[in-house]
Amino acid sequence: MLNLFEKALANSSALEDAFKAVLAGMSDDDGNVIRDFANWIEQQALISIGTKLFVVLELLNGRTYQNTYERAEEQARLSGRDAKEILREQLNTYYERRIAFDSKFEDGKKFRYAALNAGGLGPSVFSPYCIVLKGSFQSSLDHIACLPGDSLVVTFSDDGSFDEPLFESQIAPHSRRHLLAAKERATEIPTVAREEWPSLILSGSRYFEVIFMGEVTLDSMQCVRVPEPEYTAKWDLTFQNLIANPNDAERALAHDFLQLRREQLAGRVIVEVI
Amino acid sequence: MALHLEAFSPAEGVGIVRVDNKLRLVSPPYSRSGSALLREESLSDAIVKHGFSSSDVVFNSWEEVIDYLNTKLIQVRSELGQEIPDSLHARDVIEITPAPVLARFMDKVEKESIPSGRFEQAEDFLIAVLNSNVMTQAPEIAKTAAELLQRSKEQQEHSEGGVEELEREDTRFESLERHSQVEESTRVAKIIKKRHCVFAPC
Repeated sequence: MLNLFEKALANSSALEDAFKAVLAGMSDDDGNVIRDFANWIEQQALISIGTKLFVVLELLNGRTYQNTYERAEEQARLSGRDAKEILREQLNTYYERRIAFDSKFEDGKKFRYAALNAGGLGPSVFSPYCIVLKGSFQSSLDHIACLPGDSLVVTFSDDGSFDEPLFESQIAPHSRRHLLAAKERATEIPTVAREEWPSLILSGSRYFEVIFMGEVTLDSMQCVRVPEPEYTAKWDLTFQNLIANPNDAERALAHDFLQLRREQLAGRVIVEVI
Repeated sequence: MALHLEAFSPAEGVGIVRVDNKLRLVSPPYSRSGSALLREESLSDAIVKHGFSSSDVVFNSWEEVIDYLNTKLIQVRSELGQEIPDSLHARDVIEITPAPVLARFMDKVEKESIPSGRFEQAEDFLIAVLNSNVMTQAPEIAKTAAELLQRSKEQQEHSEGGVEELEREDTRFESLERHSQVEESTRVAKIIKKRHCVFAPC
């Protein structure tokens, strides 16, 4: 069984060499911009988790953030069913690939998946609430590594099997994440205005996946970023609740959103609308 | 029309539905126009990364899909020991609503609620605004609320006056008069108007 974080550390020198090789192929001006970009990532980048309002409220209510396995375990406890059966049912045709990746590694079931974030929001419509974790939280983690994209894509071969050499060539320790990011986006960096640099790290379907082990609680959270359309939609839903007869789901979600607002007003969470 | 629920997030009443070979996201507030189209690959993304449960349930109508999502939400929240409130209290909501959002609410009352004849709901909301801290925190919005309240009452009176006039003077429905059904038809029309729906509740 592999140790993902040791593999990441073992790849440090190779990443440094790869970064130098990229710079060697660039003009001096472009090389300087790429170095600036790498420094900016090293200083500014945090990690974020795209999630649902429901999960944000769980953190506010004192619970910890759950990964897929922990969620299945909890559902098993509540329903009396088998956790593995629940997991297989939930992931269905995607079960094999998830398990194929996680089972390759020691403590794979404890991994939490997040994204590098240097400003802006996560890309998903399914999880529009972007929990940005504190710099002090990421500094406190002993086990944290980074990949240049979705682990279930960038570490798998075309035949759908986990590709160990491919994984080993790409995984970066947290201390070299800036080199990985700058190397991967090297050709784009000089062409993009600095204020747009965050979008090179996290936008659309592109992101740098961060894999870590550690407990995420309310104290780990720096802020919650909410896309403006989602924020407006939730207030509109609240208005509908006041002016019409909503069903239970509509009322429950409006209630959730108002709880987030109350927590914001009470100073327990910072909400940034972007 | 077959609606295939491919995946859903029970705790939030959100579903991904395949219809006419396209994926649509269905989420509260439920409306056909609000169901965004999704890319095919986003289905696996929802399940693998965002905790959606895979599903193979098929429905015949959007109402069935919404009923199912609603039922699942109640079930999951009940299992988690989370109660869903029977209603939201307007004044409590208003007092924590940011001023720009309240201004947007006023706009909705003016452009949607009053023109569509939802006078009672509009007035209840506006009265709640006037009874809240908005009077002191955002007097401009309170002033708008008072104006809209006046306008709602006037339009309601005008609207009801129209119905009464129809009741007294209408000669367009000669057949109804011949069959002595004008009074009954007027009564039904008033019920429909109040309910905003031609169908009676079960």
